[in-house]
Amino acid sequence: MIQEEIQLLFWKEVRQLTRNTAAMLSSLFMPAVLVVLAPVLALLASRTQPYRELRVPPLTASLPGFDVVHDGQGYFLYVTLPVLFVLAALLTPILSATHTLIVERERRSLELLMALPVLIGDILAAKLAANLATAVATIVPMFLVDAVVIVSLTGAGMAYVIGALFLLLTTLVASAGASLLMALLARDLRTATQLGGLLAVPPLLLTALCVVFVPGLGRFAVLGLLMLAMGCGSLYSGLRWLTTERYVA
Amino acid sequence: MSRVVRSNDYAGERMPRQEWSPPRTLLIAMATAIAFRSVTKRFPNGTLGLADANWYVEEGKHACLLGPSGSGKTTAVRLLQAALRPTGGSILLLGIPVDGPGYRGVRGRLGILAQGPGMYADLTAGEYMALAARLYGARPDRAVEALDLGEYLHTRMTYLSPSFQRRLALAAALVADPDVLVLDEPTAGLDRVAADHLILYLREAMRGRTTLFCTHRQDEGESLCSDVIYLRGGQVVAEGTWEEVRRRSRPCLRVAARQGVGAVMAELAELGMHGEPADGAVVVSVASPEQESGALLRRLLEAGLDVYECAPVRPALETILHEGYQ
Repeated sequence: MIQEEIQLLFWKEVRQLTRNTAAMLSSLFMPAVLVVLAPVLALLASRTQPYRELRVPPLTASLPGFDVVHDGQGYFLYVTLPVLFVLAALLTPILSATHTLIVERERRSLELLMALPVLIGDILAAKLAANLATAVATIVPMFLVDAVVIVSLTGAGMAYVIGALFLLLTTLVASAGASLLMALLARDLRTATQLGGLLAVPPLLLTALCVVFVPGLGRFAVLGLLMLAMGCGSLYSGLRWLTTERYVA
Repeated sequence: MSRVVRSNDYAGERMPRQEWSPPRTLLIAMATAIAFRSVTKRFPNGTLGLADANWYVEEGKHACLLGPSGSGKTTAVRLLQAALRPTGGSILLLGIPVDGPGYRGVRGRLGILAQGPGMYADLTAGEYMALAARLYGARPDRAVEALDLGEYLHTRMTYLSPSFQRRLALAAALVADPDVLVLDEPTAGLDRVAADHLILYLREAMRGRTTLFCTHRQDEGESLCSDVIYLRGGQVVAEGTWEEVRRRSRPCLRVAARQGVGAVMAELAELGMHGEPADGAVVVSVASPEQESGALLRRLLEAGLDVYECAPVRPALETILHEGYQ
């Protein structure tokens, strides 16, 4: 189904990513902190006395998103963890995209690829796919640690785990869209870094809104769908209006 | 470098002559390896890369796309490799529109040496050649051997010297024994010795295949190519063989006198003619040197100038092209 050119370029990108220490460290370190370390520590902390007795102020408790927040554990599960998951899934591919998409152009090695019988669309597709695949390969296994901890230590159950996984995966799609926009709009690494931060703002704002206003597990579904829409919208608008030639022009 | 197969039969493969007679326009397109038809390229920031450019390269020809920096040479290459889309006009590669569905099919018959490509720090020369070979559906052995890269295949690309880096890029362009070769400023950034060495490989690589050689250096272009297409400001100023381009210009007379350049120019101005100083003499454009040189010489002598040279000369190509542009 996938064109052979894209497959070949994809494996080239994966090979380069795995050899690039800086890219690998940023791909591993950020998810390790945001997906494993912080959530597990938060959930363990929520079992201690001070957090068990933590009560949400009445005004905050009246917000729809806080209907399931009765103590510290509820706060971590439904407020903190969704934000951490979104941060990890959003920023990890964007960071590796700066290496694979922007640095390649800055160092003019893109010229080498363009000289081969491939189209710019193939090159971009392979790079985005490689970034996504690397992110999935690091984030999803790490999330399984969370899943075990959530199921075993909290009463959230499998529905929560599936919802959170849906949010992670759809945020990765949003991140791919943001990476494409960054590649097409940024001329250099500095601009790309700034633009990457800017492109992360709308998903983070939506996350905050969903966490506050969408009740229960519904936040994962609503936020996940919004992320999916944002990702698809970014990919479509990048290819339709900005066009792939901006990557080389 | 040895070449085994020359595959110029792509038109025949697709269109058997007994069964179908293509229209004349298509026949012209089929005989043309590269054709730019009224191509305009305006970038999103408003810069004009090419302006209604019309030029073509016939099969088997070596054409030099000559022009100063920013004249549109690399834009033309990028359009040819479908990395950019023209704002207007059309581009054909081996008779197939570059923005058409058949482009992928002919792209494998085009080898491109990009201008000053950067190298991957995390790939070896062999891995890059393997990628190029798989994308072209060919084996890299012959190109590696032809460019003498065999012992560097395990070297990281960035560790190669600039000359070897360029040879590696050329090897990738030649891996599938392409029908058309595009060389975009291949010697840019190389020292003279390395450039001369690379030109030996280029000469061999160009043998028997259609080549578009993009450069701003007339000497290199003239030594490697039979034809020239001169671009300036995105426009084609002149095209043809080098000799044809020179012949199209008005001939000149080179006039020198003991009184110096200033005196000659002043006298020419008196006669309503404009001369350009050149190496202690004055070059003046005339319609016919044979008919006008005698009369001009008499006038200058009558004016008291001790003329010791008055001979027809061929104007420098750069002068011709610059005049053409103006």
